[in-house]
Amino acid sequence: MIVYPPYFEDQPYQPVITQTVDFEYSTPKSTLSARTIESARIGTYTSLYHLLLQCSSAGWDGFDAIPIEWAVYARASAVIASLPWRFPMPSAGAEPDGHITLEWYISPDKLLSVSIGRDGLLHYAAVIGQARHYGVEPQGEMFPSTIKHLIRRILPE
Amino acid sequence: MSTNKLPNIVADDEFLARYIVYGNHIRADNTVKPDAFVPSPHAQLSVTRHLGLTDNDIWMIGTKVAKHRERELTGHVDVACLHYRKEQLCVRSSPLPNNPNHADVIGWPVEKAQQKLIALEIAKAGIYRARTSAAL
Repeated sequence: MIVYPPYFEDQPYQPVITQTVDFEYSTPKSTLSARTIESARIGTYTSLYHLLLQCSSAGWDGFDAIPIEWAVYARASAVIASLPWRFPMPSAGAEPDGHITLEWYISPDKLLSVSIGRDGLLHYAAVIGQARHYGVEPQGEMFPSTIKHLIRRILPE
Repeated sequence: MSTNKLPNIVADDEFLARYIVYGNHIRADNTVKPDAFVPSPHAQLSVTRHLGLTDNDIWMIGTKVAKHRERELTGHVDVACLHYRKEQLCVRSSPLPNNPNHADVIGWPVEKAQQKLIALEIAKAGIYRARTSAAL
């Protein structure tokens, strides 16, 4: 397993290898190199950090948005770190109520959005064709299997 | 800008603009993320009714909204009122001194995940119009 610390501007990114990588998610077509996977992760951490900077003042959405707090950013970083190796990286976003969102998007009919706030919960909603899913999962060290299952359904075969 | 008094009841076929000042709310393929439709901490979503406004008026209001927060207007997403109502939400006319066409979308469920699912559906119905130099 690889542990990814949160990304800080004044601290170079330094993944810590603690044991052998477990390739939990792998498709026959998957030929991603470790370097590609790692740079995708770094990209996600970087965009999370930019998001923190851009949305740290009240009204960042032009209305009454709550600022994104450092604690929420840290939680979102931890969620990224808990994603299984080789899982596709989401794009990060922000909601007016101060949540950070992680989105896996193929099209408006195939997407999953997960919100992370201060409450230690992952609030998710997905549209997969005609199917609709939503719910809440506690944030733990392991990425929730319910959400993993939805990501697998959204990804192209 | 039209100064005629608008009907209090927002019709199903009226288009409502949601101003976008945060570029991250728009994806690379010019579709809008549901994040832009999650209600504010006050459990309401601010929108502007198109009724009686010219295209230029819509852009002018958006520019003022953005300026007020020292932001730059990215564009606006237009959604017909019917789409909000299909999700069991209410659209209430709520004129402001600087925007008589202002309306609030209210009646959001308390549960965050349910709000997200609704935001997903509304975003799907939205038509994004990016601000161009010709827009103002």
